[in-house]
Amino acid sequence: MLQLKIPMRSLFLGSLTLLILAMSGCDVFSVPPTSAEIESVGMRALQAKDAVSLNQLNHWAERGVTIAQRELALVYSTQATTRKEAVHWLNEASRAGDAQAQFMLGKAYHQGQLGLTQDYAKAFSLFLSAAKTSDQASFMLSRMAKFGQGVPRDMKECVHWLQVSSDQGNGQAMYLLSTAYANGDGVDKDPKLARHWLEESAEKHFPVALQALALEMELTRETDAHHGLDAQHMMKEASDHRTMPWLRMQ
Amino acid sequence: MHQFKWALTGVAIAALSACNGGSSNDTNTIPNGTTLKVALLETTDIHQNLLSYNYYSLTPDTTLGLERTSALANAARAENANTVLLDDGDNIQGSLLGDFQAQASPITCSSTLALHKVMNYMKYDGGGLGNHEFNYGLDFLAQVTNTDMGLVDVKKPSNCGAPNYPLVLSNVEGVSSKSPIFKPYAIISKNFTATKPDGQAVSVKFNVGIMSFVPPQIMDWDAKNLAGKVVVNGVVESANKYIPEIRSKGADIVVALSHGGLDASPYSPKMENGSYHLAGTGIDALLIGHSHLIFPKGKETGAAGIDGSFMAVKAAAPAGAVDEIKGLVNGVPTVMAQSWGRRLGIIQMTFVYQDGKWVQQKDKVNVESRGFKYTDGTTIVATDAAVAPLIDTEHKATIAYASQSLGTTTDFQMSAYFALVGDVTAIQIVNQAQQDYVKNIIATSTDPTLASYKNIPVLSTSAPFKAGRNGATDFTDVAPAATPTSTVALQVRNPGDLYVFSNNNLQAVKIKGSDLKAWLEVVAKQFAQIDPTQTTEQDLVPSYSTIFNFDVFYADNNGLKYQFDVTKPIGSRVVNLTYNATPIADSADFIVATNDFRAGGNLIPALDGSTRIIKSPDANQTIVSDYIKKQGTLTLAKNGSARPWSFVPVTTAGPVVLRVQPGKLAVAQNLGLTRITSEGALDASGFAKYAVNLSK
Repeated sequence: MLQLKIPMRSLFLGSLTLLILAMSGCDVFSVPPTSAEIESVGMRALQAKDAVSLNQLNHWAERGVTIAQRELALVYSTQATTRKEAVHWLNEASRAGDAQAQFMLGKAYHQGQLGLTQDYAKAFSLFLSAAKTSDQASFMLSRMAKFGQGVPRDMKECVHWLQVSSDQGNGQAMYLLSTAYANGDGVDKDPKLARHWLEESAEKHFPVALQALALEMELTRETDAHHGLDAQHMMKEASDHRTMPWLRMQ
Repeated sequence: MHQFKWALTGVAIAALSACNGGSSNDTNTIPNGTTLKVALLETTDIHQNLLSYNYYSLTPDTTLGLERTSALANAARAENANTVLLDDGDNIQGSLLGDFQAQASPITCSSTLALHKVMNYMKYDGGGLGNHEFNYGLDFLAQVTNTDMGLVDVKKPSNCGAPNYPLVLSNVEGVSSKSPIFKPYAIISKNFTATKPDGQAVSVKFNVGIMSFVPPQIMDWDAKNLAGKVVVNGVVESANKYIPEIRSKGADIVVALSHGGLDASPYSPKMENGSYHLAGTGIDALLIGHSHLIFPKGKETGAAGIDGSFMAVKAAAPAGAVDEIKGLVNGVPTVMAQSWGRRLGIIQMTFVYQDGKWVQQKDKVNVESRGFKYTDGTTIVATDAAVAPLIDTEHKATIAYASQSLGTTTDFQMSAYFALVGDVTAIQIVNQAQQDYVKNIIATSTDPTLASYKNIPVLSTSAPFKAGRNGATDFTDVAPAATPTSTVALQVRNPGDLYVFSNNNLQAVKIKGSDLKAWLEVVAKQFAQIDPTQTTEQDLVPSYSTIFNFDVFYADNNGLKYQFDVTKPIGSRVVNLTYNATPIADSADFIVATNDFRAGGNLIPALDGSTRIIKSPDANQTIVSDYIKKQGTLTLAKNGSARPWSFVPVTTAGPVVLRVQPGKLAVAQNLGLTRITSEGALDASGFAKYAVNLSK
């Protein structure tokens, strides 16, 4: 066993070196990286803040690889000193049509972050571009219509985008769509649809919906024996996952 | 050297095992055509539900608990000669028992977690990790699993109490070590009984390779425990990295313990629910979890329909890729055993021995997510009676813990009986705790936006959560015997009585004066519109069904004041709203400390998440508990008498009543609530009708 180990080790080190050489090769387009490969490097750059991954992303980004530009922006946006670089790469990736970059840049304009001046018109147009695939962008469009940010205040338009975002799977949009139907806000009152979207939202583990639905079911526990237990379990579910679901909330 | 440990071992063993043909069995003794039936058994998301017991209500709950799952496992072992019992993670955190052993009374190295005592008794063969395993930090995880993670800033345990089966994790590495923090895989060698073509039984060795995967989101969910220490890799990349190694070491099958649900979106290493894509990596079985669902559809009589999310995945995936009845994902047998021990996943597979290899018979697969009522749809499986005695001490200690002293006394009864006529004895302390927390965050924040809010008044709001909603005795009542001359020591459980929703996190919103007014108008909806001329009885509060929306505000020096005119219609009842004796302008800024349910619940348009400025990872319950502990003594003067609101006085021609638990008139009198003048008859639900004088 010991005899085997030594040659094996040097063999392995050798192949690792080859791998690193291949990765840092100048002509990235001879073998274009897959999006998963780029995102893997992006994750490492973000989590480990290591120079190798960051250099690799830079290398790809400079050569116009859109996903690498977005991943690089993600890393740069975590530090105040590199906000300008973050905005630069978000702009590049957004222009190339990356929905995540468009959403991030839209958020930065909406909130006046990353050193940008708040600009609702720019934010709206970026969210609009991203909304085809981004439930979060659709959600932000609903919010901007609700409060008249960059567009006239319009509850019907708000509900339209809540519906789009809900259909894209956004639990927060589902909850607000539920309340729109419950209150007849921007849409005809419809208790059945209100309940439907509340249940859908709870299924997505949107914390507010879990609690709201549990509280509703508690009231019918005497007419339906299951409801008391279901309500209790729903609150238990919400407690189990107390710290998790807020990441994607706007 | 250290960083190449796993890869090196893999290569070395691959080379070695090549010498004997890559098989763990002697081909001379096992004839071709020998049949082997194997059942993989899964638990997932146990979340510290060991006994069929609810630690919050302190009552039995026969719908959950590992003591019943153990009975399911025993039954499955009786039905299947060759079993492998595996757990898919999210087991060390969840119930009060878990918090007790991790935080309130952290177990020492020499002890074994109650959970692991039960799992060791159940003879698990292996386990993976879930995202919640990181909730108590890496030192705790290292200790209770007796694992040297190879991280410089994490303790290296030595012979601590731990699972006696291998724990694996395939997609988390140390930042600097670049090595997995747990073994990335294990090969479990089982002696199984197979059937030769002539019908004779034969003992064979069968090697089960296991890997495990956690969602990459752990880096966000547990940033404070993990940032800068570990990195997480995509599930598919990690599977591809180790599968060849596992096979070359002689695994007859490779099983993925994937702590993630199914999502048919295009693969990304950032996916939370990457299990669907693991099915394409060459693994032989997929044990999944995290989303607490049942897959495939339950087989028992009256089983619930398949969860809608699986049907959405099925619709998004290529035709035939997801079979929610047979339990197949891209042809790979897949099971999810719900959560809290409520189900046992069972994957029965059949293999035929052919030229030194066990070849799986794809047409002979049976997958079941088996619940407590599996026999006939109604009978709940009995507990495995051996489980409870194993952890009796821990169970009793957890219950006793709730009754221990918090170290703070109170000189007043903290109750919600008369919260709807102005009493704040059960509410003010919650508000003080929340306000203190938010003030502190803003004062110490390095975030330029939060720091710029330093001159905005911080209010807090909370409600009488337990005030008649679930019946005539459903009222918060903490320390009923407390008086200034005879103080009462508060117990650990009491913060939970004052703040009942254990799922809530503290959040803060920044709103305008106009929003505050709108908010209070919704609060005032709890009251009926009182007609002063009516001579017959009127209910002040017609229903307690949404009493959790009766938010009561708090400001420093009781500086926020408002009145409700209950003779006015909904939407125009709030009058005399002042802050520090000055009317509040619509454009004035306020920060309000509250919870996630309120900050995003859309009670008013501004409470839709858009005004949220603080998303705390801390539970309101914990914040209340910590604040009370810091006080040492609570007094009515300091913590229970700052009443911000009152009624606009009105004389009514007839009686106005408030329905409250009977026998509590003295509570109102002690509090000087002269609006309550007498206790009247009981209604059909057992509430007493207390007379309210709105002219006071």
